[in-house]
Amino acid sequence: MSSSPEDVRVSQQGATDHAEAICTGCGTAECGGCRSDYDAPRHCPRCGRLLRTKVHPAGWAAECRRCDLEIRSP
Amino acid sequence: MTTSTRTAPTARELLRAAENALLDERRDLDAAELTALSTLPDDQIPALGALAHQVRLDRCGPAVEIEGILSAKTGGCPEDCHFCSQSSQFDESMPATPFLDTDEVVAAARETAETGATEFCIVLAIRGPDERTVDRILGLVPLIRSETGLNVAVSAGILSEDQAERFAAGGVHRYNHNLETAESFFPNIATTHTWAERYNTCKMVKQNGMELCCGALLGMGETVHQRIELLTQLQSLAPTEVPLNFLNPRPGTPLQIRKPIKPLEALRWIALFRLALPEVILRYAGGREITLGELQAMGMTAGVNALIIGNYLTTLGRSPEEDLQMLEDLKMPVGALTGVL
Repeated sequence: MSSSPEDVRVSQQGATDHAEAICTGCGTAECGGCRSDYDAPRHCPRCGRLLRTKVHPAGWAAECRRCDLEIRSP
Repeated sequence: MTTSTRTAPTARELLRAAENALLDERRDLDAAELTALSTLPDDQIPALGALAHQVRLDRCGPAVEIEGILSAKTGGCPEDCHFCSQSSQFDESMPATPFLDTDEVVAAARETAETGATEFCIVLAIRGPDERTVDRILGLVPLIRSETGLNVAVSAGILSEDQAERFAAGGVHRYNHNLETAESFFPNIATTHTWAERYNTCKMVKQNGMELCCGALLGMGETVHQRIELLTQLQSLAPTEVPLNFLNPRPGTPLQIRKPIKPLEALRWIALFRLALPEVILRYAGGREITLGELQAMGMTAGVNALIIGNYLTTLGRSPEEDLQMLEDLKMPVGALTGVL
């Protein structure tokens, strides 16, 4: 799922963006969304780079250091 | 002239013999008995599970222990465990995250406490702790205990004798260090440390008065005989807890090509773990959602008496509400199992 609607994406400017095109599961633009319900995002939805992800008991947060993008679970 | 032919015992005979050994003679099963049970046909797995459930109730009672876990330092691990996405040795290694701030760790413990859990485990992806890491952990343990009332467990890799002593003295009541697999299969899984190093840390944990949590990971390509070997090795360690993981093949790891094991096979081995380790806290751990799917409740009636609630270290679990509803439906009370067995 490359742009899961419940994900909150906050860019450097604080804008929320749901229009990302890259799959957060495999990092490719061609994929229709392969991330399972039991995986936190692995790849940046903007650039495809591997995210720095923190998983905690009730959620997760992931950060792309190239795009300065942060994604969090609801 | 008469010829005597010895026929193989039937499934009912094998199950009765195991029941007699565990519930009447009250002795442990040996490798030969476990091997025989491992060959039962698939249609006998519910009966195997029913026996395991009876043994669990007899030895451990009805309570289920709930635990939350947190990867407090993720990725960048120098070890090459082939199942683990946190190793830095593979091509697509997960970017490392430094040790979380104290506030983040305490917040995660609070999330765990809110579910009714009694146990919280701080996990670090490291070979073993350095001095700074030991100090951080020893600062966190009493803080979490006082802020949440949870028992605090730690998983920080291979320990020295001095570190084990300090963790025990510092209030770490349970230390996790998994064997993962049998000694004979371990070289296929990791080459940067040995199975013996893991076994020695496990012994050291017990010698220093901490409870030992020593888990297994099934589905990495090990044989049935190697699973039995692992069970006998766990019997020799007599851990307080065994978290039972099923391989969730992670992208970028050498084991990414393996398929998760089938649900019935998982249930068979849940039951065999209970029958081999009748008094242990047998905990559902990683991979249960993708392996068992809709059959997760069956594991609770096949020997499991503890579970990890919420998310895992780097992957997500099903919602705590689903697990709590499952326990309510099964009329299994939630409670701490520390010290009661």
